[in-house]
Amino acid sequence: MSDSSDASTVQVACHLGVLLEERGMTLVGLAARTGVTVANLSVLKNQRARAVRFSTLQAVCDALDCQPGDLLSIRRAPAAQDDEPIPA
Amino acid sequence: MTASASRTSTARSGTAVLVACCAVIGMLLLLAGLGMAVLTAGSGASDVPFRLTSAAPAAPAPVTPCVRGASIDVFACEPAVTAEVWPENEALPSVQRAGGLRLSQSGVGPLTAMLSDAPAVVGLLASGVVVLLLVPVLRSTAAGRPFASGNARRIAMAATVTAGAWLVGHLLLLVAAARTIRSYVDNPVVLQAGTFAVPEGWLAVQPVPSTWWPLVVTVLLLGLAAAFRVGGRLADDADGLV
Repeated sequence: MSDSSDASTVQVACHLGVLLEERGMTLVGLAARTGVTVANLSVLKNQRARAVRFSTLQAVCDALDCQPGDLLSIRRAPAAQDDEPIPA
Repeated sequence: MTASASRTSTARSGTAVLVACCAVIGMLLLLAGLGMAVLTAGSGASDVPFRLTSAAPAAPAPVTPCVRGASIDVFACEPAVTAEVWPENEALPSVQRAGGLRLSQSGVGPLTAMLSDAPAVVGLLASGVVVLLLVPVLRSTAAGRPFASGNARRIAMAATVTAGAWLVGHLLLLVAAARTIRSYVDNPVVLQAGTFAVPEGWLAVQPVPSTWWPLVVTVLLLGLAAAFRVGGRLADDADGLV
């Protein structure tokens, strides 16, 4: 999940896989609890989502008993600088 | 298999059958158009609309009811009424025949014969092309993705094919009418009073098309293509939304 509008590469990382593993839950089980389809949860888990509804975010956080910040985080990878000195 | 999975499987099978039927219908329409072109070329006869020019000394055609026992021409006239209802060989007052004139000519050659049926032939071919163009639209719509990439373009192409076929069919009919009139004028007719050639300039092609509904279909398809284009943009915006 990335936004290429900035000079640096901004990525929204989803930690759904980690949270499911910590709670011993499967995607199917989470789908049953949240009402979100397995396909959409898979998209979210595999970093292929481009947008997340608040209703989805709320349902997943309720089911996993976590905060949105536990589920999503920002990764910022700076772009390469051309004028950096070349090491001797 | 659960009930919902069974229903889904049945729906998919039904959709596949529908898509296959439409593809077959499209191919059959193409074959019908080609077959009709071959048959009309082989008939050697032409039947085209035309108009009488101002130079033609033709009187407006009256409408004379059929009266039993009277003969308006050498052919039997039915249904007929008795002379008590209407006198024989008396035209209805203030009533004239309206509508287009048609010229039927045999021995015109295969090209002219085929061109005289151009609207029908081109119409069948264009219908087949339009159906085949819209089969992918039907397939993606049945799969729950009506605004899949390319659908708006396919519908616009179907509109273009419809309008193009209408125009080409009419133009080819004009060519057939000109050739048929030429054949008619060049071949004198044998009448009771002698042999006469229809004077040059009495007959002319009818430039105004007789059918306009294909243009209505074109406008509707273009409107649909515009709607699908907007829908495609909305679908792209929602792509990856969970």
